[in-house]
Amino acid sequence: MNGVSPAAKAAQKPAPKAGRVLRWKNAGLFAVLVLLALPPFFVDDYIQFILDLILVYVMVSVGFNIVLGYAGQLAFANAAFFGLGAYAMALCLGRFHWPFAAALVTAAGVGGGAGLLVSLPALRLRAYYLAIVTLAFGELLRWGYVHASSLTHGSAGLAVPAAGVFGLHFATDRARYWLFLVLVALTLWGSANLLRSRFGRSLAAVRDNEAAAAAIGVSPALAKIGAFSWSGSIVALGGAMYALLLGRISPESFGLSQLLLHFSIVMIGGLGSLLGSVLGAVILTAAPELLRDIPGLEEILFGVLLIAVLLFMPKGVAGVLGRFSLLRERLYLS
Amino acid sequence: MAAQLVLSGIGQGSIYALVALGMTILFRVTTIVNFAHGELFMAGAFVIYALLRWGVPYPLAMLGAIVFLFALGNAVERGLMRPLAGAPHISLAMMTVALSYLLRGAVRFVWGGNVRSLPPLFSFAPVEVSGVIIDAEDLVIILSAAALLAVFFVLMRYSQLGKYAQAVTDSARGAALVGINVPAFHCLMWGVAAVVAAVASILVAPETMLYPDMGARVLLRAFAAMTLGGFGSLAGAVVGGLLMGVIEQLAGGYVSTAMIDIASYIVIIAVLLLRPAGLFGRPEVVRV
Amino acid sequence: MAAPEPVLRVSGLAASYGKVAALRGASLAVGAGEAVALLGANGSGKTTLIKALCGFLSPSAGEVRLDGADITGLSPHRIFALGIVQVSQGRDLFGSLSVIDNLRLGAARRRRPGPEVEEMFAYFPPLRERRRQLVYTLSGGEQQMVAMGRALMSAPRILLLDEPSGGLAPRLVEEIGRIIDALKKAGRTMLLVEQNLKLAAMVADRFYIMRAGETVAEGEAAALREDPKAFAHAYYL
Repeated sequence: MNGVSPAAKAAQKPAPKAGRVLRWKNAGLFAVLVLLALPPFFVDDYIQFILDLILVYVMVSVGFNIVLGYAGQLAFANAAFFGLGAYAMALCLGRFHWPFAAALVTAAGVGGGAGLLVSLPALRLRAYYLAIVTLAFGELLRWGYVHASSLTHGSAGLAVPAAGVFGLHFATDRARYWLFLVLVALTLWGSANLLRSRFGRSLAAVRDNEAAAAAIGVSPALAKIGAFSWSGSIVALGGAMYALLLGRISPESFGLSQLLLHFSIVMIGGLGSLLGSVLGAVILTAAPELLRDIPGLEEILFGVLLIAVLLFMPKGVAGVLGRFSLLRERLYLS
Repeated sequence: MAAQLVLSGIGQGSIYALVALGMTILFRVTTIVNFAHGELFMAGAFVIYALLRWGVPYPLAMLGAIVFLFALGNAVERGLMRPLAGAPHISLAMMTVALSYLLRGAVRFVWGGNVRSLPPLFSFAPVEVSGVIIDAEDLVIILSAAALLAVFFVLMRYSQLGKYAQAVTDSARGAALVGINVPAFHCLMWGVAAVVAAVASILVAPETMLYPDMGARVLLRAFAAMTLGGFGSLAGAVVGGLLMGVIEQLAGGYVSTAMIDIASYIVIIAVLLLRPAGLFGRPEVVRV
Repeated sequence: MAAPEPVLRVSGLAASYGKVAALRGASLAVGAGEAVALLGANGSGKTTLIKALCGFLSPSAGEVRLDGADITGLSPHRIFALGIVQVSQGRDLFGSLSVIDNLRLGAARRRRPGPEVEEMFAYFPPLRERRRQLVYTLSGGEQQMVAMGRALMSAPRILLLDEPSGGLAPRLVEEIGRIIDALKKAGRTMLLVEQNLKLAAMVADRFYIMRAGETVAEGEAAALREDPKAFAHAYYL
């Protein structure tokens, strides 16, 4: 929100002096990835499902954060992108019997297209107007899922068959975990790099002051279109993962409460911080599981967490961690 | 059939108008868009429900809802919004989202997620006037809402309080410069906005289903009403709300009942793409 | 010079915006019936001082006394009630209300007997025929008159004027100067922030100079009138 985004800051930093630093960093990241690949060998089925779900929400909130935190657009179409990805995946696999990879690419493509569409009003409308029109867009789509029943089976929902690629079959939550881990790692890596590029700097410039950005030769229109398309395709991938994980999707999963969950993850993790999105997804996916049996407690927890973040740590959980600069350097993504 | 649809549309629309009006009062004075306004409406209905269960008679239960919501509005301003004074809009919006979570969670915690209903308030037979069947409940809603709106607009226009509200809307700093206690005024307006939401739920609760998520539907209708009338315009909120009710009923009657649910979304998208200022609005009202 | 107990006494006032210290130690006194000018380059802390005096910024050190009573850190409406009233640089008028409504709102929360709306039209004749007009439709000069009128309606103990001539055409600057002069002759206590040295020299009794958030010099306005050149030199450096 205020000041220069981490991405822009990272871009201003001189490139690491020696390749040695970079090599160590990469080696460290690789080690983290290997560690993250281990849980399926020793956790039970329930925990495994939760871990898969966390990865879904990491994906979703990284995508949302790009529009909300990096581009500074108060757009609420995230549940719409999420639902489009899920339905695209379900239809491609279950109805058109496309190969898995084609379905995944289609889901991302549909999300990117929807992002492009949503970016058009964002060129004209500001702040709350944009929030409301994107909210309406999402609800309109949800209505579409219910009423296009010849395609979507309406409120009854749509089954999503298990699928595979290169002879790998993602039929269990364990197998899916590794698939999701790879997708999330690639997305995070790609997003971190893109945010550090010229494009990422142009996003920060547009967020901080659109007129000033235009004056230094950044096109706010292109920056917004790029941010929304990119965000839309990432979130739709998250939706596709969600569809695979649940095996059945129905319209009510993609309404206001889904949107508020995404919004909360990004805000609690920290606007404009990829690391924050990861942390937010972990906290808000794992914590409710502990409270599942008592109705209402989950919502109360979300409310309290949000209030705590807004009052005491305006930069989110990642902002608090960021104070320990060593940790920040190690975690690299913030 | 048209007259029938228009009439029940106005009945529905009166509720939307009240909810939208409450949001607009708050938005004008504080520049906050309250995403928890649907939950204030929901909370009003559940306060009545709880009081009736304790054996409190209907009129007192309604009064109780008004008093409770006024206190709740004040508490929200003091506890949640005032510490964020001067924060960016996204933080203010987020705080109202947090409030909506808290209210929904609290109601679900106490009463669970089941759908409940209140005993009917009146039991008049419907009246038929030249082929149009007038539902007694609709009539009561329309007349009560009209009376409340009349009082509100007279107060806004002619009372000292109305002048203060306009002064704070035009320039909060200017209001402070003439000695108005602006934070206290914000607090009062949170109370007033919550009371208007409570009145909407008092009118509609006896003939609707009560459940923790009932606010979302009303919130989106109120957004449509505000957008249609012009965001930030008091008269626009009322006219937009009534129109929204009528549009829904006409779309449902002449096109398909499925249209009732999306009429408001289509209105939002169409208005914002074609004429963002709405019917009465000034586009510069929304500050970034 | 100032009377034994000045109306307003500021000593060692400091305040900051976040981590930026905008005020590092401002001290001044304004006696009853005095007009004091606050001078200084852009960013020297004049407007910040006015803000702090009105309660829009809470001071981190120092104190403000009004008629001898400590009013440091009170909120804006309390300070208003005690009688410090500001005509701000941005004017902060109520654009969608009429001239009369704006003037009346100036009197709505006052705690002392004060003037009637009609008296304002004597000070500001052009407003008389525009009394029903909405303020946002007025010209800059007329709006400045409404702003001053609204403040006078509050019956201030001391009137703070922040750049009253800012952004106005030369003819209007003279007009505003005449009005301030008339106020002074009527015995009004005033603290005036002004970039326009000529105007300041014309209406003030004494002046303070601010630099980097501190009051660094003071003197009689007569000096200002005698040698404006030397003064401008000192003032800009």
